[in-house]
Amino acid sequence: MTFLSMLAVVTISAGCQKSADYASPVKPTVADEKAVTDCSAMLPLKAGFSWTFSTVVDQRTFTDVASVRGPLNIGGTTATLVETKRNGQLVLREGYRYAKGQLMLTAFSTSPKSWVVIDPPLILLKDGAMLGDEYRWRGRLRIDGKSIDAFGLSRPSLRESVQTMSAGRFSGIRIDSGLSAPLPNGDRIKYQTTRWVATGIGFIRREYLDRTARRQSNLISFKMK
Amino acid sequence: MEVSYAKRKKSLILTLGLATLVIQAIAMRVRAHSTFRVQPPMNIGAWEIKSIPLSSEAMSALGNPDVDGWNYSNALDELVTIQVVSPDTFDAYRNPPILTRFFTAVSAKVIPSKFGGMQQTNFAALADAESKILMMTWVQHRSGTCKPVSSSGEQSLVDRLRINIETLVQPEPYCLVRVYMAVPKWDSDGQQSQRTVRRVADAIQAAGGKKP
Repeated sequence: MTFLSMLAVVTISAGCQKSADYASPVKPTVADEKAVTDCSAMLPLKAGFSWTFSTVVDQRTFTDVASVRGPLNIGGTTATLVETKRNGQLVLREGYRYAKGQLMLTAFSTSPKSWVVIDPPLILLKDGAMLGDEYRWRGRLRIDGKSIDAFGLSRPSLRESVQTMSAGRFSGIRIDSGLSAPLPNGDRIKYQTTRWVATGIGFIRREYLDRTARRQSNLISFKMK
Repeated sequence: MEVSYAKRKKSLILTLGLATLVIQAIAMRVRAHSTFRVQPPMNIGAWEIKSIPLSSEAMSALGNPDVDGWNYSNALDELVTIQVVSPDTFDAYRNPPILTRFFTAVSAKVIPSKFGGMQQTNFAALADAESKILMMTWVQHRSGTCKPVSSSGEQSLVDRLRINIETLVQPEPYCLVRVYMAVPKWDSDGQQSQRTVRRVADAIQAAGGKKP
């Protein structure tokens, strides 16, 4: 073994590399953590509930109001409509559905006339979800009578303490969602959103990918009546 | 005196012959070991794989071994890079050039693999600690069992020596696997990145352990 060791030392020395100096090692491991017990409490969807956000777009600050409007049949699925308006103008509509212990996104739209229907609905959160759970989605996006193959996922990524604009500090769950649909011309439809939700309050922060920029909306106040 | 000289000459020839045989045996063993490279699964949940050959610079830094390179990506535009390297050059054990050139290791830990043996997790960061890379690396045998490439986080002379000596007595082929990703700024302490890299590592180790 001594001879072999010496032989190996001589052979290996040619490729020798200096080891890096290490600071005292932290533990690069992460423990499993439950994200949520009851996901219906993470996004209360009673008609009349609303959230007021401060949103920065192209260095200009706007006030957005997201309101729960009530049930609506969108593309054959009954969902709860959440409308977001900016200066009275509609900027976003989303259909949410809570069923069988799952919070789902069924459709979205940035125009008042048409919808992008997510078929089947995209799961955002499940009862008893653990941080890091990934909900794979594969299906079709139905837009103005056309149907496009798409794929995506949603994931409760982190538990974070979020300092809102003026509503206080809340412990919430960061949910990352993405849908992607390749188009025949090489482009693709991309819908990426991040929602931070807190128990009993719902949205405490939202972030949407708008073309290449991410628009972040920070909570100013919320109304639960 | 004449007898002693002849004996020495005979002994020298014998030693040289033996050394040649051992070197041949090592070379054959290394070649035999380099016949196996684990094939990562085509998709892992919502993550899809794409073959990405290594750059000539990266290949050169590794001593031009046989290497397979892949990227896993998802609808969130997250990216995980995989390298599966044959151990047929001693430089193959080096960390990827992107790590060695731009980053400094900040922490490392050897942790158990679900599929037997050990693996290791490394955090590396730029000097300003704004940009971080998380890498999991291990030696994977054909049976699926793993062992760490090093005990400290970055391979060293001692680690290369250890692995190469173990190669001589362990007949099972193996390859070196590296899984790494840039830690996004929103994941300040790398919690989600650790879960992602671990998930990909588990899937590769499970694939490697499957019986044909």
